Amino acid sequence: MKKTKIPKVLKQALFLIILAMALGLPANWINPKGIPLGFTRPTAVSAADSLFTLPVGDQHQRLDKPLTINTDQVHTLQNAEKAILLDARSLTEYRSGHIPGAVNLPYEEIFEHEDIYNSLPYDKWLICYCEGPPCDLGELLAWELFNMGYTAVAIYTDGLNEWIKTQDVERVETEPAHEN
Amino acid sequence: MKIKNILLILVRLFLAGVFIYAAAGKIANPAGFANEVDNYRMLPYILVTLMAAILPWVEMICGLMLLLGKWVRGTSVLIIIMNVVFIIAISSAMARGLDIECGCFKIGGEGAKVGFIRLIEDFIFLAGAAILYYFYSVGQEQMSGIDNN
Repeated sequence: MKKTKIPKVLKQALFLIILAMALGLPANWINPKGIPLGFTRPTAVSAADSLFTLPVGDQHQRLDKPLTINTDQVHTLQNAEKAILLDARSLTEYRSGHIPGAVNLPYEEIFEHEDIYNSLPYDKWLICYCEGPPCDLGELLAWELFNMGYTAVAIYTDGLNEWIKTQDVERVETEPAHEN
Repeated sequence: MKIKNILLILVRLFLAGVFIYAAAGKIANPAGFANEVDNYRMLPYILVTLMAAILPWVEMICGLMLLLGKWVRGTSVLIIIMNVVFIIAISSAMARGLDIECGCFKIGGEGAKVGFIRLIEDFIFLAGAAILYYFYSVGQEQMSGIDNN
């Protein structure tokens, strides 16, 4: 029976890939900025109420991922003026109703809003939200900000759908067309 | 030394520099790179994490091999495959209207976005690797001074 000969070029390429795996996986494991291997995205941890009684600068040292927060915690942070709410949906959706005081930072167009995301404060919580499950724009925005260097980042996972059950929303009226 | 050989050395060193530079930022920040790969929304999460851990090292090794002039044909094949994948990913993101970072060089908020310039870059790298593969395959005996393999 004739043996199939693997071309030398493919042998070289395969060896290089195996070498990259042998170096890359341990390097990722020991790197503090390494990515944990897994089948599902790491779920954010729920924040304890006690965390918000501390100055944001203190938590800044300790947080290693965005936290999820509930409606009461959003209220607490808003009342203490310790947070900025970021609406990750489109401008149209934002205009139709958003949490009062929230700033629109659409995740899908994040790089068109560099002026906003570059000027966010480090001494306040950045609370990202969208409609609520299954919408994950708030979570994606939170991770994007977190990876940019903002570490006091929270995700209001229940989102606007939960908020409007008990709270008012703010609407932006479309400017009337100018009459000529 | 013939002009053709000098040009081949320049192409090889250019690609070496590009891939070492591209790999360095990703190796330093695998989590940031994973985030940018994930933004393309093309792969299941396990492949995103594996790609973030391994691909930068493939790029780094390819860059170093080209720098040393060793296994140029095998390295060129890998670079061709990688750039075909990059071109498909960027085209797909553009077609879906995704406004995301390319994840090509800088990682973490300052990198270039996907777009035609990134596509043109990848086609240039692809062409460079194809040129290396072709000439190192057909002209082994004429290039003994360039490639020892």
